[in-house]
Amino acid sequence: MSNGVIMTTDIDEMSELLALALQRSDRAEACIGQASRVDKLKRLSGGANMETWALDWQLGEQRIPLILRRLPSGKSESAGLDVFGQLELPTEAKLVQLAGQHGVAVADVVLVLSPEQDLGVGYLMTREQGEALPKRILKDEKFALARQKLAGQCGEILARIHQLPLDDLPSGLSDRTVDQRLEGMQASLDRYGNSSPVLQLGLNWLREHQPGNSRRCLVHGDFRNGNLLVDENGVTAVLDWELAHIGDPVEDLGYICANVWRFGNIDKPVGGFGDYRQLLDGYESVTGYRPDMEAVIYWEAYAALSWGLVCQSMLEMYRNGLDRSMERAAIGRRMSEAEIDLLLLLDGRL
Amino acid sequence: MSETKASELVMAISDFLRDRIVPAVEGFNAYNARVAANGLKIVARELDLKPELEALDEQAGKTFGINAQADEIAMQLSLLIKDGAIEIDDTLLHYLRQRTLKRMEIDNPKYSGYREALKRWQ
Repeated sequence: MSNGVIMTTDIDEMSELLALALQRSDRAEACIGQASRVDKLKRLSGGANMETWALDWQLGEQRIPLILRRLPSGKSESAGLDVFGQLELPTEAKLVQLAGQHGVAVADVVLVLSPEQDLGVGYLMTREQGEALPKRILKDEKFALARQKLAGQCGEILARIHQLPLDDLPSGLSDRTVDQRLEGMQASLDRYGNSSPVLQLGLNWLREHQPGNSRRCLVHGDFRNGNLLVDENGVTAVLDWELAHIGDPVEDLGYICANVWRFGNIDKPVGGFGDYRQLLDGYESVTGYRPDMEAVIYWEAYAALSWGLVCQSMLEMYRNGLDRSMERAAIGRRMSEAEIDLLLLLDGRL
Repeated sequence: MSETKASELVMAISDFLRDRIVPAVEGFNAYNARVAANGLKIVARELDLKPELEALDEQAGKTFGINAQADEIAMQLSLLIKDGAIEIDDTLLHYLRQRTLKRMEIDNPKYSGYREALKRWQ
């Protein structure tokens, strides 16, 4: 996708700036005297709050495929999506680096941009191999073997993320109690006119059924089918760390099971590819601790409500003119997915 | 004989986008042409089903003693639920399920949760 028209000269200028900036990276410093050049710079996606670019970095004889994530040009802070509590990009970069050091499959952060480089706020990382499109991961014959292993792998990967030492985490991560987050959700419902009795019912239920003895750790926050790169053997990289925060580890386990992220395979609760037992087995094999199934369901309901609020706030971005794309207007009609999923989950639990 | 229904016209435009325009363009435009075709289908279904949704809401207004326009009743109920001022009983749940099913029928009748809910509640 390429939003808007980008002049060739802009692309050329930006490529030159990137080549210069990359010359200051550790990788380039390790190969002093090698020429640095950037080719095939291409915008992959971009909304009001984030730009993603693909580029090839030629360093001497080496060709290194990279991804650039940055705020839309000219912006110094992200706008509009305060309900999600997105991380600042340099914080996100630090987190991805830390996860990599602790054995989580992630891209390699190559360079965090600094102001004098004139490229805005953001960072560059390696472009890893793999498929991210959920429908392909769930249907293509080539992923048949991966599909059998994915749920277990997700459990293991989440366990490693949850074991990152709290003391090593970068500052700037949201650290709110469940009560505080539910209050935030109530404020969002109220702000948008409280038009959905089902979402309100779901929020009341979440207030009254908080799981006891929760732990506190780094939570990825958006760990789902669609944010994982996958090859024939399973996960090659965990993407999209911008919603990471401190919280209850079971949140991530419930999130990946939310029906909206099963992409039609409702009978395969984990991402549309696996079952609860595989996920929890994988998790327990690393942590020695097996989360309670009702706690997983609790966070699945939390994820359903979150999805409803995401749809609502994206629609709001359209209405207030922050992002006038058709997609933003259309996503408002996906709120009913959150509602039906909540009603199914709460059936027999009210 | 009658003139073209609004929903028929919108559905015809949607089919045109899906069958002729989506395959003819690429990338960003193809993606958005598909979003547009889907959006028009929602409009077409709403044109046909809105009276049924309003009938559900009006009936709920009578059942729960809410004196408001059809499109305000759900919001009023939501505020009652927020304040704990209404009992969450089978009558209320039945209405919320039927209303959500009707909205899913308009918004996305292919959604897996909708198929599952139909099996369970209808």
